[in-house]
Amino acid sequence: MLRSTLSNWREYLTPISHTSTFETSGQLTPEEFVKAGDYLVHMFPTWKWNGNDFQNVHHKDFLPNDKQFLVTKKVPCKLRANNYLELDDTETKDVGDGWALQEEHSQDSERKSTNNADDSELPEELEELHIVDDGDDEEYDDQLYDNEFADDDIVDIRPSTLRFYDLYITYSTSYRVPKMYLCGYDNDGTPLSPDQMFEDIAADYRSKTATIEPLPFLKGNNISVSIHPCKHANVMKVLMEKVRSSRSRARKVDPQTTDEDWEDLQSDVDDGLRVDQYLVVFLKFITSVTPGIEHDYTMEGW
Amino acid sequence: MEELRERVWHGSLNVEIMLSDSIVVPNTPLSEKCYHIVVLRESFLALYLPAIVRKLGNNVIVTYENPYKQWWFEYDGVPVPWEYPCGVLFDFLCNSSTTSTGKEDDQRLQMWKLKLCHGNKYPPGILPLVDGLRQVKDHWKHQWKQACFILNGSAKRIMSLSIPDFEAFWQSLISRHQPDYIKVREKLLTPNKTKHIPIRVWTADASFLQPSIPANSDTMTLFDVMTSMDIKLQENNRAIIQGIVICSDEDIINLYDLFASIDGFLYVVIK
Repeated sequence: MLRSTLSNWREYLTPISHTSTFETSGQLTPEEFVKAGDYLVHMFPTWKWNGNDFQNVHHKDFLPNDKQFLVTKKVPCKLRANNYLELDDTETKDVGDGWALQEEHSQDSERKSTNNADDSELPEELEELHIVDDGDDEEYDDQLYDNEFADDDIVDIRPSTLRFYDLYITYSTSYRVPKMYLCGYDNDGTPLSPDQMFEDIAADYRSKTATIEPLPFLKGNNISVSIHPCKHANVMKVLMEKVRSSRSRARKVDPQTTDEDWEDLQSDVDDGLRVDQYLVVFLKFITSVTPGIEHDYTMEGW
Repeated sequence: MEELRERVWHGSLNVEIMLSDSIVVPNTPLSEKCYHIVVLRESFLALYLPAIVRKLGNNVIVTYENPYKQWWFEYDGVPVPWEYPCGVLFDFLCNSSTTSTGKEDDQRLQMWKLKLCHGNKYPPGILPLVDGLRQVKDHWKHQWKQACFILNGSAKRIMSLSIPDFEAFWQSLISRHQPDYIKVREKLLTPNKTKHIPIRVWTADASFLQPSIPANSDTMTLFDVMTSMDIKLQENNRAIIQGIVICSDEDIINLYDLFASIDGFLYVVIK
């Protein structure tokens, strides 16, 4: 609590700079943050600006009133962060005789295999129930169908590990980079406790950069976990350097063709990222911090 | 080459819009319930709705919120989808006998007769147009995302367009400024590194197909493409692109380059 109060004070007291240094330092000015946010919202509309909800928002004057922070809501999170370390070892596991489920993704099979430990906790009656949905029995459908599992051949009645997150991005004046806040919810809508939310942050980052604090830009007490921005500038600098060197390398190899992943989109010599693509790259990095939270990490914005 | 592309860009259709009997005020004179316009082949019918509704909207018995919502066109009693380029719809829906004005052969004028309808419930098969121009733009953007993916194996190119570039792309369609359109389109295509050709085929039995046609280094002709889809091109079963019958030994990549529509796809109508 103290740490977050201190960081809020620091934000408040640090003067705003408007000179662009983003290529060399990985930092953003408030104007660049707005530009990058506009681009994100334009290309990936699951993200929105805060808009005209003036009642509940604490406004900072260096950002436009309707662009104080970016938000995306109800982002699914199927597995906890630790599960992603195990994914490499386990392929498709046999999930036992009672559940002859058609497994489509390895993630689903992973979920079932990691939940095997829970099987012993299921009451006996449930274990003996072999509920097969053959699609013809209307009565069963009505009683047992859970919309989430409508595609499965067998109704899964084990507790779900699905969670939802609202993600917020705002501007950190002291570090001059975007700052990420997470608010999690359980499958049935109850807010997650900070400890539960920590489960969705990769172990490396959990103790070092995750902070519990209420959302500073909203009124009321919204508990969230924020990712401390001290390293963001450095990471962005490194990532952008990678893009730049990869593109110029590709261009030197063959001036006509470029490497598939790093395409040359500008006719002039600038191989770097545009500042408006900053947040797309930033979100890719965030995926490593919160591997389970599926905020459309597949977006290809550069 | 350039001239051909220019002609495609400027290609147009004569259209007669008539207010549907179900919504027109009784005893309206013909001149006030009928509107003749020239519609560009390479545009969307929905883009013309505001002008049409403004002209004809005074003589309808229904109240309407805006010129996009709950309006649709019908041809021969069949609802016309708004999400495909006008030229494609015309080529598919009409044949020359139903579109001529009935004058003698040398004075015959091709005219597409559409009915303008309005209702609280859309007929089945029509995509509800709830968000006006923005929805048309979004739909067009998504077609280009598809086309970009088909062409390049990834949607990266269109997803990394800057906002000004992207807006210029859309605006070039509204203001009909071909150089702007070409400038942005070039960013999405690489001439020699095309993976597949975005092509959509509408067959005579009304099936709408989007086959996967790889762009090989050896020339692939229209005939080859049709054969791969089990379509036999013959005298009464011809391939029509942009309103003209295309010879089947044309190179398909060339055809795409010249005749692809504003949504990134090459449309072939088989009739």
